[in-house]
This record gives sequence, C-alpha cells and structure tokens, in this order.
Amino acid sequence: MNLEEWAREVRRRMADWAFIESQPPRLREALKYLVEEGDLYVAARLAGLSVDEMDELRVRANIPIAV
Amino acid sequence: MMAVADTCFIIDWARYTRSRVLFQVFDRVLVPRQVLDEVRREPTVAFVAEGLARGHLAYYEPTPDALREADELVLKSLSTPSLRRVDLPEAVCLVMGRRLGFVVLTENLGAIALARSLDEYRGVEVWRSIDVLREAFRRRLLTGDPREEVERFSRETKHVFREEEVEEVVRCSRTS
Repeated sequence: MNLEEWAREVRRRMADWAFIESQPPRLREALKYLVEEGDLYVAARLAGLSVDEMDELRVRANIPIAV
Repeated sequence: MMAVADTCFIIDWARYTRSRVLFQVFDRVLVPRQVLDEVRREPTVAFVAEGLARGHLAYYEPTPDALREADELVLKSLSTPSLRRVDLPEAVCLVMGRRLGFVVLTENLGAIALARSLDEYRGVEVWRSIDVLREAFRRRLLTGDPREEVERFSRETKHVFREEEVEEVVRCSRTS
C-alpha cells in the first residue's frame, strides 16, 4: 500500500461519519472530499471557508492528517 | 537554520502545547502572505501574532516574480498526471525554499512529492511535523519519552504518523 492509499484508508476509518452527514450540504461535501483526497486547501474552497476554519471542521469531524 | 511554513503546518503548530520547540529548531520561520491570508481563527492568529512580535516568525510578501514561478509550479502539478496537485500557498513556500535555501515546512503530500520529482526542486528540503519532532529529540530540545511526545502532538493536532516514522524519532532520541 503506498502512502496516499494508506492515508486515505486512515482518514476513512477514523472519520466521524455521523458528524459529517449531519453537516449542511456544502460542508458535508467538502468534508467527504477531504476524506478522499486529503487536500485541505481545495476542501476549504469547496466549503467557502479559510483553510484555518476548514481545519477546525476537520478536527471536529475527526479526520486525521496522515503523513 | 531558516524555514518557510505553509498554512496547515502553522495551524497545526498553533494547537501544540510545546510549539516553542519549533522556534528552537529554527532561528526564524517565514510566513508568506498567501499563508497568512488563510489564518482566521483567534488561537491561530494569536500564535502567529506572538511569533511575529517575538521575531520567531517573519511575514514575507512574495515578489510578482516569485508568484509567477509559484503559479507555474501549480500549473505543472495540475498538468502532470504523475504529480499530486499543489496549491498557491505551498507552491510559494517551495519557490522560497529553492531560492533562499530555506527548509519548507508542510504536511502537504503534493508538495513533498513535487520536491522529490522535479529536478529544479530536488535540492529543496521539505520537512513535516514529525521531522521537526525528530530533529528536536536529536538535538535534545525535547527530552522524555519520544513516543509520548509524538502521541501528544498527534492528539492535539489530530495527526496520524506511520509506525516507522515514530520509530525513527525514538531511534534519534537514543543516539543523540
């Protein structure tokens, strides 16, 4: 398993899916994108947030940075 | 030793209770405008403001020429199937790392892969948080149980590190 595959698997496994599904559509889709791609910058743009604000949402959704 | 940090790295270290060690490992960490633009939350702003006031951090406004090179890097990452995308803040950090010989601090896998893939960036040192922790243990700026410290960082910033990376921190703490 390469680094990207490992990181995606860790994010999928640890994410709080109940929290993610409870979010408004734009935030929910941004969080799902973050789980799949691990790209906080683009996820922030999808959500309409700054990277800093998106990172706070990431922590609440229990999506780890896996590197 | 000097460094330039991208947004995610700054945000994460603002959460870490032993963040001061970053400023013991590096004499100064540059924060480009494109990175600062993404900082909005009060705790992160406070971390950056204190760092700037104490001279640990330094604000940097990239020149149009540097921004043009960073934009070319973004486009290259997007147009090369084997590369993972990088975005402007990380690209600016990579350009500054190459031009100034600074360590680039990032957790972005795209930036890490790009520095390993492109000839003109191969000499740029890219460090992740785990690399800073390892260096801190190697130089005995951090002492105590390295596993506990990595666990603290992971808990406070919501990171997961591969076991072999943690092992390397432990090994460096023993040989320092």
